[in-house]
Amino acid sequence: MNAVLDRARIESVVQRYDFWLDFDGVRRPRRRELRSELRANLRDAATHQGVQAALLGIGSPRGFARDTANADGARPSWSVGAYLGLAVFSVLTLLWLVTMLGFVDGVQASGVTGREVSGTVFPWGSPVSAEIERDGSGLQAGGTLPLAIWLLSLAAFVAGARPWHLFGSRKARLTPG
Amino acid sequence: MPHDAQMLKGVLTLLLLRVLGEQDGYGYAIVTRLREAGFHDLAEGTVYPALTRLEAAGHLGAYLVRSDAGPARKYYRITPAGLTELSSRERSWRELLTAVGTVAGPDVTNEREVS
Repeated sequence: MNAVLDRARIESVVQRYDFWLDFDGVRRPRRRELRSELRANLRDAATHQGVQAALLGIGSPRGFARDTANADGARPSWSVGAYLGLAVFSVLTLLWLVTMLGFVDGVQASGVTGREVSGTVFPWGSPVSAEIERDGSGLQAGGTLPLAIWLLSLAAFVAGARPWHLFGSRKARLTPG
Repeated sequence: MPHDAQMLKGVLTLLLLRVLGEQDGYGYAIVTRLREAGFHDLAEGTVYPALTRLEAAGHLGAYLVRSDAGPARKYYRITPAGLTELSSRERSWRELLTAVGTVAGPDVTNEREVS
């Protein structure tokens, strides 16, 4: 029973290590190698000094994965880029929607009904429009997602992914024994 | 008495290249050899990334060896580039010892029994 529990604890750490390696942009085949190496080392260490000491020896899976990824050579972090790009896109789109609502409020306050009012909203600059029904029973609003949002999201993706690491990264390779 | 972590990091590459220059080894076995040599407080979390760094730099090669006890073990061996690096680091270490001895006196750099 203890052996099963020990293996489960080791596997849990190995999987967390793998998650953070993935986060740091380590590719799947290399992660498989690193996972296998860590698993073998941890099992060996656990046999000699106990699973608790073995796991303490590598510290936190997050820090250990970061050190390993750095040691393995810089590489693009596509998943980090994707998270960052998506986060920036979501926040900016939300802000744009808020300014859109402000524009619609302005149209309502002006008292213009029965015709489409168009314009641009600060700071986006992209065209937006709104139309209040003549009897005030409804409204329509539309607009084009500003180019700035796409560009800033792309910039965030690139900043997070660091694709320039594609050039000049060195890779470790197993050689025949 | 525990070793100064920063000083240990500074000489870790030299130690790993020296240990693997004598005999191939896998991660935990290398840690054990260094601990037996007196580096009792050396953590696996420091050694394994250093091995990865040396491998990525081409100073170490690696191969897998099947193990009856569990998953295959990844053995490291020193490469010709690693031997060159080892010579360079040993030379630097000797120069550092000489310089420290000049300033602090030979008692600091020479091994001696403290009673």
